Amino acid sequence: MSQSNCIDRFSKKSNLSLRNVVNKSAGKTLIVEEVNYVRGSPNGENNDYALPNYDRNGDSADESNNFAESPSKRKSQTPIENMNLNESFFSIYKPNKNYPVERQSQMEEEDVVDNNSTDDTFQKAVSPILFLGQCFAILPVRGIRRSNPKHLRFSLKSIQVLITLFFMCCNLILTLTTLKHLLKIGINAKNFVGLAFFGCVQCSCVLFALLAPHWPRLMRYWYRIESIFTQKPYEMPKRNLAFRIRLAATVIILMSVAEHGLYLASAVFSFKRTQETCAPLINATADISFNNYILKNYDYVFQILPHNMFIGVFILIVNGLCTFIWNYMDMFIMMISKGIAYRFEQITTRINKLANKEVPETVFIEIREHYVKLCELLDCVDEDLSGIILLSCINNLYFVCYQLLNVFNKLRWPINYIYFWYSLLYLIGRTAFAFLSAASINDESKGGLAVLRRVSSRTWCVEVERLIFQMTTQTVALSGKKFYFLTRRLLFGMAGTIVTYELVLLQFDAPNRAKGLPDLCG
Amino acid sequence: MKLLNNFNTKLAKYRKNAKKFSKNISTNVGTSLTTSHNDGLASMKLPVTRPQALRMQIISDSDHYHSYFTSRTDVPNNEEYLEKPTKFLQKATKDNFMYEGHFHEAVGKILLIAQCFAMMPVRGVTSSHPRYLSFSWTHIRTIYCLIFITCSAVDSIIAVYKVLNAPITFNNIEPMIFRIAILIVCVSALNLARKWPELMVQWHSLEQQLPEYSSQKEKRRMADKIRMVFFVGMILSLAEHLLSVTQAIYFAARCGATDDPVKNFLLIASDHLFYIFPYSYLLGWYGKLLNVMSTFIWNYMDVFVMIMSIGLTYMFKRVNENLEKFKNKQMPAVFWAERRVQYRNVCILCEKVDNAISMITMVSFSNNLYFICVQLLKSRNNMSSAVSMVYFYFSLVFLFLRSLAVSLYSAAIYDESRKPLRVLRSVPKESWCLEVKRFATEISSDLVALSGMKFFHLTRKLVLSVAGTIVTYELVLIQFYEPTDLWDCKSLLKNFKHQKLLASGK
Repeated sequence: MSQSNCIDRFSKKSNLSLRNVVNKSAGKTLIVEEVNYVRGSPNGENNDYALPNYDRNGDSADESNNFAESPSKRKSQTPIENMNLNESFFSIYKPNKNYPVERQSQMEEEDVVDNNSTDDTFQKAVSPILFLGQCFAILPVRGIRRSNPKHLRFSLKSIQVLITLFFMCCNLILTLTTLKHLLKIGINAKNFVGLAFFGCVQCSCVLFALLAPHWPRLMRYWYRIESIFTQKPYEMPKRNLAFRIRLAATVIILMSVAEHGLYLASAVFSFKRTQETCAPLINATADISFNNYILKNYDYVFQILPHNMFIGVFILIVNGLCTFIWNYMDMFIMMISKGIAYRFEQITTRINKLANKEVPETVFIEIREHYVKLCELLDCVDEDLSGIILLSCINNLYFVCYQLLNVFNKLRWPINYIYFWYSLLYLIGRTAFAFLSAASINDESKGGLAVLRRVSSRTWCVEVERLIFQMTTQTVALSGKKFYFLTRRLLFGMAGTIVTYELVLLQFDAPNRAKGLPDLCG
Repeated sequence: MKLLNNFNTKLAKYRKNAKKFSKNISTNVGTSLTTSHNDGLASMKLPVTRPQALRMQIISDSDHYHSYFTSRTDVPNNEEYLEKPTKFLQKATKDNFMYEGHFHEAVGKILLIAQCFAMMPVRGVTSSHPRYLSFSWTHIRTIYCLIFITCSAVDSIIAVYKVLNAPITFNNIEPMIFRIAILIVCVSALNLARKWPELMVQWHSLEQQLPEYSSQKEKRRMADKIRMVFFVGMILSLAEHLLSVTQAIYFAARCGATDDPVKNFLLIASDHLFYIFPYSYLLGWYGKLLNVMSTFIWNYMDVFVMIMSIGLTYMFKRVNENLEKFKNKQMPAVFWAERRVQYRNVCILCEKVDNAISMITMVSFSNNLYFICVQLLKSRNNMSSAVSMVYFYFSLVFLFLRSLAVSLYSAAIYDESRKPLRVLRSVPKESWCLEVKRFATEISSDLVALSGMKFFHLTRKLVLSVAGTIVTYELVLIQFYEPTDLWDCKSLLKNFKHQKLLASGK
């Protein structure tokens, strides 16, 4: 029996890591095979999810090593003795305490060398962006910059968790001061926006922190599923995943930096002009200093904290961080959906290539299996992420409504107009972009349907029927806690809702607008 | 090499068989010990109606399939198996703590508590088996319930009279809506009580068909959840009511028209009664008693819908968890046929329960919708004191949470009913058969959920659309609303003036 035969037999179980071991020698092949039996029997793929990849990897290698030490002994035994010999095969689920550390690093190298598939993985694509996020206290997981998710770990005693906790405390201070200020002057729909902003950032920080313990497991599972798609017969589309994700993320980050810059410019300019205009009226010299700027713009903070230079810088930094996180939420959803939609696109491409061809049933069996695996991955991702999606949707809905309400307001300086219109358009664009990329999962998952419908009657088989049934009846999409699914229809519905609310709210706001601008120096 | 390979396959097969064998033994023992003696008796005692006959046919079908895996030996129907219903305040024995994980056991005590507040007068709710359940018009619980319904009907008429005498606005009709909702729920609960024994027997016999619980802990799971929901709901509603009483006492003390504090309080607490009748001490307390009972029922109707939904969800969960064990495995067509019949039976039960309680669901949902709108509107009022502010925000949050909990718990049925699809889609090609296809088509095309008289089905999507509706209504309503101080002494004193006029005979 040749090696390749053996690999083929177990490629259905798709254990990439095991296959690396298989390549070593014929003797080891046999062992891996048996390990597979033990593991694959009760629950199949289910167990794979529960078991971290690296554990098994190490274990199996360890086992094979022990075994390889006495090849002569093994050959002298009958098959039955060989089977009954190693009890340790059956305890493969147990963590091995005597696991040597050097072996791990060796395994890493093996992974890189033996992996003949393309390197087009999600983990690799997002790692720089997630690392950037970690600098801003999001998703405190260790080992995020490595290309293999088996190095991902969550531990409470890491620097990332410390950063996150520190930032959450800082943000909490700002949130509480805003709340106190609002309670003092009375909450209404318009001044609520500050609290909504800080509250939303705080919530998303907490949600990301809660996601972090699940993240390594999720990424390993994702990596395992992805290993199907990084090799033949699946092809890499023209623009690979890393390029797509990084391009989109860069654009969003640049736009958000521009937005924040404009915000600062607008605030500083307004402050300066106000000082210049008002100071002569009360016979004082214009006090255009950093301290005064902070005092005028963030007065609510100083009801609790002392007023000094250090606190001022601190406020500005935390404010910037908040803006980043606020943008990052949508970016994160965009990245995840691009990652999954990309795989669906690969399946669609594969199906489309089969158009007008006579295809054996096994191909469709394989395609459907992969499709189902991808759907299962999507379910897992959705379970972990739907909180963030729900929050992001509410956040976007509220802010778009709020900004639209201010469209007809008069502003004092031209720079204010520039900032307002830029931020409004940016907000709408970002929302639409995030939603459309999330909806692309749904679009791509149905992509192969047209070809499948045209399959000739000779090629038609039960598996094609099942695939069509699944594509048409399942809603394959990310969801907001299953309350709604992110599809194109939802985006349209949301736009309609916003218009309705806006029409009513504008009527409300009419008296306020009629008043015009408040007195500049009042 | 080949030899070895062959051997590997054999070994794996052997392992599988061994597992199956041990499973067979356990299920066999389980069914013969716990179930079979009850089954025959239950169906013998009760008259077989037509839907029941249909159901029994399906179940017997499933029995046929069941026998594929387990050969049942009949346990002799000894008389000692038939327990008598326990006497009042009897000392608890071990049997009282034994748990079989039936829905009937889980809700028994809760229904008993509800019966103290004149809800659903069925006898034998705490008995060990649903065959002891009975309903009769002449029983004391039924008479108690009828008396309460009469009283609250009179009460509602008076409340309606008072509301109609003042200018009608969206939130002035609140007491009227409250009392009418209570009345409808009470009547439909009485109606439900008549169907309850039959429904519970059906439920019980369905539970015998479902896959066995694997552990004692699993048996308790449903009951624990139901109790948790009941107690949390009831404690919160008690807190809410106490806060409202505190508020009434506070205002009675602050702007009381008379020297007697009790009289002041009663005048506020049952103001609609004294709108017509002159003040009397007893009448005041009678009004307060009715109010307490109504408040309980008002909260209980939501809790009741939650409890029924949890029960049904767990039925689906049992089927699903069992199916989950066979994911990615090659099973014969008979296996899938059996699972399909199990699933179908649960669906039939769900439909029956839905038919029985859909009136209560409807009232509960529309009531929540109205009260959320009213409370949100009231949030624009100025709160004159800390007491009324605490009460108001507590009741608003409580109302929100309660409505959300009802919607989510009842939507869980639908979510759970879709789950077998996940197992079915990963059925390997070799074991795909017509039965699996049928199963999959059934699940994806049917909508299994509780409904509000079939007007709407309770799914997660509904929650979203209701939330959207509330916001839209609110935006419109706010435009017409003029904020007032709800609890100012002026309006209270006006009431007292009217009271004095009554007393002087005008």
